[in-house]
Amino acid sequence: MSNETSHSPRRGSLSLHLCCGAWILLVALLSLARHRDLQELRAAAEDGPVEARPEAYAALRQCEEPRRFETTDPRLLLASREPLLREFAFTNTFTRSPLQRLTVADLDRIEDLRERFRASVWLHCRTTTPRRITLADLDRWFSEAER
Amino acid sequence: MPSAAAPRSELWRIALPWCALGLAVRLSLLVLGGEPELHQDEANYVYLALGWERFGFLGDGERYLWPPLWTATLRACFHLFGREGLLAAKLLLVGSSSLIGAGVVGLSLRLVGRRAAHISGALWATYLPLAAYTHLLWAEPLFLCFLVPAIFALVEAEQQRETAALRWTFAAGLLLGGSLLVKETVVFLLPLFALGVWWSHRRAPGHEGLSRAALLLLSAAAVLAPWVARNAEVYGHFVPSGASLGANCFNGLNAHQLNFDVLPLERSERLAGRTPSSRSTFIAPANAAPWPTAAEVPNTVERSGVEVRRGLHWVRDNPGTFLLTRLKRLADFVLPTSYFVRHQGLRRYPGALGSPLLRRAGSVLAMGEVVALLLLSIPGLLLLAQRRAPGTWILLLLAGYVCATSLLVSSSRFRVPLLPVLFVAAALALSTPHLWRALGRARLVAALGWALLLGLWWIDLPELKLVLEAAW
Repeated sequence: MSNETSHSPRRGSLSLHLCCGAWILLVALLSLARHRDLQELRAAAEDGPVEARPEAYAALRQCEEPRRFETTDPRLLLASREPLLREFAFTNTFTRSPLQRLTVADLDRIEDLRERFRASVWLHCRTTTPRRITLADLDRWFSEAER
Repeated sequence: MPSAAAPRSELWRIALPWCALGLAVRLSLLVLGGEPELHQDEANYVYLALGWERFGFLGDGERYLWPPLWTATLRACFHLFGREGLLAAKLLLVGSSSLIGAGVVGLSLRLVGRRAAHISGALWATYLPLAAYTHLLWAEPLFLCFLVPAIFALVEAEQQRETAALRWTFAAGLLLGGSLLVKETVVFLLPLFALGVWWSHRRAPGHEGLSRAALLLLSAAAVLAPWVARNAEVYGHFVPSGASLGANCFNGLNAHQLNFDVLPLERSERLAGRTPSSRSTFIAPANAAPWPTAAEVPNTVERSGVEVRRGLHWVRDNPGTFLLTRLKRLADFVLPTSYFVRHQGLRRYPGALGSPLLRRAGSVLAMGEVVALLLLSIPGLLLLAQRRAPGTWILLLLAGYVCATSLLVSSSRFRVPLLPVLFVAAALALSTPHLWRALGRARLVAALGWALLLGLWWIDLPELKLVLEAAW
C-alpha cells in the first residue's frame, strides 16, 4: 500500500511532464513544417491567395533584410484589383520608412467611399500618431459594414 | 488561524456573496459610466483587434508587440457582436472578474483565516480603482483573471501533498502561461516562482522540488508554445510573451519624466497650462536631451532590444540621475490616484458617473481607498511574513517583484498586479486585534514603512494637487 501511494504521485508527475513536453514538441514540429523561407514569403506576398497576402507582407517586413525590403514600393498595392490589399496598403504595416508611407493624398486614388473611409482609419490610427481610433470611427465602421 | 484544511465549499460560501457584491458594483459602474471615449492604449487594442478581424493577422503596435489574448478577445467580440462588441467585452470583464474576487478570498482563507477572507472579499468588491478597469478596455482585469487564480493554485500546491500538489502546480503553470498571453509584466516572475518552488521543497525526497519546478515551467511553456512558434515565424525571434521592454526603457530609463496618471491631464485642453511643478530634485535636469526611439530598426523585437541597450547606456552615463529618478518612480507607484480618477479629471464619463456629485464623491472615495489600503498593507505584510504559513513566500515574492518593476516605469496602473496581495495584507491587519501590539519587534519596520510612504507622497504632492484639482 505504501509503495502504491509513493509511486502513484511519481507516475502522475512523470505523465504530466511528458504531456507538456510532447505538446511543446508537437507545436515545434508543426511550426517547422509551416516555416516559409524568404523566397516563399515573397511568393506568398506577390502571388498568394488574397487573404494570405497581408500576413506575408507583415512577416516580410519583420524578417527581410531591411535595405532590400525597403525597395518594395507599398504604392504597388494601391494598384491591386483587390480591395483588401488596397486597404491594407494604408495600414503602413509593412514599411517603417516615412518616405514610403502612404499619405492623405493617396487616399484620393481610392474611388469607393467606404473603402476610402476604412483606409483613412488605418492611415491615421497608428499607435504612434496623436490621432487614435475613436468611438465615432467605430460607429461609422460598423454601420457601413451593415449596409 | 490559516485554514489550509478548510473545505473548498467553505471557500465558495465565503466568496459567493462578495463576488455577487463585486459584480453588482462593477455592473453599476458600467451602467452609470456610459461609454467613455477610447483612451491611449484602449484605442491601440481596438485598432489591433479591428486589423486582425479585417486582415486575418495580428499586427504589432509599431513601438511594441503585445501578447495576443486581450486583442483576440476584442476581435472575437467584434466578430460576434459588431459595434456592440465593446459592450460585450466589458460585460465579459465584469463577469470574469469574479474569479479575481474568489481568488483573493481563497488566498486570505488559506494564509490567514475566515475573518480575513470576509474582509478581503469586501475590499476587492468595493475597491473602486480596480472595479473601474472592468468598464475600460485595458487588459488588466483579464490579466488578473489568470494571475490571481495562478497565485492561489501555487499556494494550494504548497499546502497540499503528492498528487493534489502536482495538480495544483500544473494548474498554476497553465494559468501563469495564460497571464503571459495577456501581459508581459510577469515574464521574469515565472522563473523566480520556479526557483522558489524548488527552494521550498529542496529537502523533500525524490527530487520533488526539482520535479515541481520543472512542471511549473513546462506547463506554462505548453500554453505559450504556439505563440512563441508564431513569433519565431513572423519576427525570427523567440518571444515568450511580448516585446515592450524597449518601449518601457524609452519611457523609464531616459531623460524625461512620464507619469501616465498625470500626463494626459497636463495635455488636456481644459487644464491647459496647469503643469505641476514637479520637485526638480527627482526628475532629469531640464537641459538633458532624451535618447530617441530606435525607429530606424524595422524588426519590432530587435528594435525593443536596441532600446533596452540605449536605456542601459543612459543608466551608465547618468548614475546619479538614475537613482534620484527611481525615487520618483516609486512615488508615482504609490501616488494615491487611479485611472478612474484620471478619467474623471478628463471628464471622460458621459453618463451619470461623470455628474459633479458622483465625480467628486467617486474620486475622493477612490483616492481614500488607495491611501487606506497602502497604509494598512504595511503592517499587514509584516504580519503575513511573521506568520510563515506555507505559501506565504509566493505573495511576498509577487509583491517584491511588482515593486521592483515599478522602478523602471510606473503609474497607478502598474500597481494592479500588487492589489491581490495588498487586499490579503490589509485584511490581515484589519482582522488582527491589537494590531500594534501584535506587530512586536516589527513595529519599527512598520513605522519606517509609513514614513517612507509619507515621504513618497510628499515627492509627488504637486502631481497629487493637479489630479485633485482636475477631478473636482
